[in-house]
Amino acid sequence: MLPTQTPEVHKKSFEQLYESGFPRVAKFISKMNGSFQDAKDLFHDALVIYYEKTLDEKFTITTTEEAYILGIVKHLWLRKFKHDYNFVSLEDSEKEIVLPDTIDENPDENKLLQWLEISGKKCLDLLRHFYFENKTLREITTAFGYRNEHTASVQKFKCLEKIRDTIKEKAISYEDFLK
Amino acid sequence: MRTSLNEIKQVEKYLFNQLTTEESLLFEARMLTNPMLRLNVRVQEKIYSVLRFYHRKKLKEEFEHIHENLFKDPMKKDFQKSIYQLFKS
Repeated sequence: MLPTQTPEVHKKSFEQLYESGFPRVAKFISKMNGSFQDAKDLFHDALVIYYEKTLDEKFTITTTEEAYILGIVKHLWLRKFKHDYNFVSLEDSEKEIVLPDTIDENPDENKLLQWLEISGKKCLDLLRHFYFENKTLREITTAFGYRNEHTASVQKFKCLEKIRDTIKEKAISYEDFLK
Repeated sequence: MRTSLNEIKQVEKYLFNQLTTEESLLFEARMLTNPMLRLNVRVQEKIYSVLRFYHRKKLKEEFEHIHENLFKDPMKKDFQKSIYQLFKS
């Protein structure tokens, strides 16, 4: 159930990646006449995308992590400012990078999240660890203080049920939650 | 596990493409005749996308924190200078 980590990717901590990866991204953005803030924002977006890619056990990279992240930034830059793809030169390895189709913030989700953070923070955190952290069931069991792994995985489904039912209840008054 | 939890587990498998073709077809047939199941599937799908959004928010908070530390650490003066120089106009 939990995605397993491939040995080749995401070896470095975020701190290390920040220090080794940000300078190249900043250099690229400054060359494109972007600001320090642009560099920072796009670097953060790229780190998120990169991290999510590493959750897929089939994901591999042929370059370094830093080069891959710069590649994502280039794609984000092109997409954000609707630049001509002929204007920014992409390496062959960068051309293969595909951005996820879910990167734009969805106002509905934001609203729903704000509301769930108030009513069910604990479940949100548990589920986030289950689906988006590179953690084993054992690690989650320990971190959240469950008796055993069975209890933890039952709790996962209980949380899904709880959140589902609160959304359904809420959807009666806020229909747009389920758009 | 309770029946209702088993259903949630089944919905998850359906949404994550973890059912066999046969199971998946069977599940879709059940959805056709069961509006409540259809709604549950839709809501559960929504939950996963909200969770992804939540996780991204948490990651970005972490990056913001790393950024702040890196740009105020006196030991990293050279690093900071090399970045700031890029944006001097």
